[in-house]
Amino acid sequence: MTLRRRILFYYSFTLSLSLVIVGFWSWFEFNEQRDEALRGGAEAALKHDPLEETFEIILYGGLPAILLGILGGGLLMQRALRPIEELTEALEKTDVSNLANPVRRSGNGDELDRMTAVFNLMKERLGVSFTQAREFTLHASHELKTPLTILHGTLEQMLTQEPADGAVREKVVSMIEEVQRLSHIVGQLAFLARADAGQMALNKEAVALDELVRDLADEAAILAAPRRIEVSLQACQPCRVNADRMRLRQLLLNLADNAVKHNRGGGNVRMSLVQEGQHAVFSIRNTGPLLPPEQQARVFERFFRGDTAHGSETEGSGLGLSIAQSIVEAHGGEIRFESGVDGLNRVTVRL
Amino acid sequence: MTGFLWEMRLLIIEDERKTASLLRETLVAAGGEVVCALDGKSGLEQALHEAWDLVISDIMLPKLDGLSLVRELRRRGITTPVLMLSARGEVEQRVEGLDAGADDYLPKPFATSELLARVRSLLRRNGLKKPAQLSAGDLNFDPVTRETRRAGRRVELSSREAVLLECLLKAEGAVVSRRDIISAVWEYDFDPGTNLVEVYVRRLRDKIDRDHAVPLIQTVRGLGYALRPQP
Repeated sequence: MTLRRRILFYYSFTLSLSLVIVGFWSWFEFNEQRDEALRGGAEAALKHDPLEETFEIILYGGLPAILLGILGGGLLMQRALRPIEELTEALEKTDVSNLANPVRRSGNGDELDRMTAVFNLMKERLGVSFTQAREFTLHASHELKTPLTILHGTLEQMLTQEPADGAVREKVVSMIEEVQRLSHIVGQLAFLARADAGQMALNKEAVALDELVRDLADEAAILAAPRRIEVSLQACQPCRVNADRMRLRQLLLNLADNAVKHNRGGGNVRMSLVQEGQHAVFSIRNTGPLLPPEQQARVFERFFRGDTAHGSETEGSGLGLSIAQSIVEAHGGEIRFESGVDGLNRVTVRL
Repeated sequence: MTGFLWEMRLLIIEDERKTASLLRETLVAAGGEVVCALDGKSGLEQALHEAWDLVISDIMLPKLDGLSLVRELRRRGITTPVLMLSARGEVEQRVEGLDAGADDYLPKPFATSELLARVRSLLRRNGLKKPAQLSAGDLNFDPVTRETRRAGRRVELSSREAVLLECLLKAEGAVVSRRDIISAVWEYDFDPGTNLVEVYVRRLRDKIDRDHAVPLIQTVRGLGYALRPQP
């Protein structure tokens, strides 16, 4: 039954019911008057004030009918509109993660049921294109690996087997470096594509995060030394997390490397690890160039590089923070970037 | 440096012709005798009917995939070392490959220097004993105590520096790629994209090459580092 017909039906039902009640009351009143007229003649019957009689009918017949109409109509309308609420709720909950689960249909063939069907179809198509985009990146990165191997190997042969003159050698070396950079980006893309598909292989165990952070601080100090950047570990509370050790090391090194790379010579990097309730909170601050607010939300976007990173000697593919984010999210944590608070850039990871 | 595969017989099972010929040329240049098979079935036939020192097999192969091939070899009791190659996911395929009975796994894209390093270590594992002392020129390194001496004088190294030195020494003068150094010294299964390697090599150089006329650590631009008395 269509929704229009259902509402029409509900209304005619309540109206008819009200009519029956009013009719029944009027019949009762008229009967009473007729009995009185039969018993006491017209005098007795005329005693009644017609206005009063009308009020009585309205009071005892009309009001309950109206009340019944409101109550019954309200209930019936609620029933008729419930599918709309359900659908709205389902729409609100829809995001990338549940594109594969269709919204439950009522199956009664009304307008809403048809709308749900159309919505499910749209969801399915969206899901398919999401999957296709993900698989495309994954396949593309796999397909690129073989030609990259051949390219690299051939260039290596040119370098080691043929006695080339200096200028040619220089060009070959530069090509090898570019092939390596390409291989690095392809590897990062493959990593992200797997993470997007929820296929990041996590080998979870109890990890002492404080030990990893202490190792990281040593490593970062060594990385930062050539540019006279000072690295300090301001707090390092014992924290145990259930996580993949290798991925955490990758995450931490990634953040530290970022903090050193996007920094001014002679600046500093400060790290801290504290336990806040159930969470381990790692934060890293640096004295790098600040990002304008409109760019801050975009630092986790793929291939995003701040204006300050463009044209400078800072290298990087712009995938590092995306990878950091995918590792944190695979562990059910959250990562935030703030720029400008106390004149520093700060990344906070909560696990 | 080349020639370490002298009188070694190697079987390559790879369907991609250009990769196969690159592998063959690299291994022949190192002195090996190399035969190529272009699909899994003929690869298995040859692996079963002839004696090999090493089998290098891709995972994605027509007719019979690399993992089934290794399983079949091991089921028939053949213990020839097998090196798997693959362009697929790194961590998972590594585990799968080793579970199937392969001895090592090399993800594409790789440098030929990395391939040679794996081949060298597989062959060493399968025969040559571990040397008690590693040395190059007037540098001596004890892998157990990590005691390091250059021209008789003792050099103090941090544990990371010692592992780095050991990794360069084990290559016997061959080039070691950045990626191999990273996995040996830091045990990372990812490329950190930092200049950690460069920084550590510089520190190691400061300790063993400064004050000496002949530098031992060579930078081979674009390829990696090598430890040998002559450039």
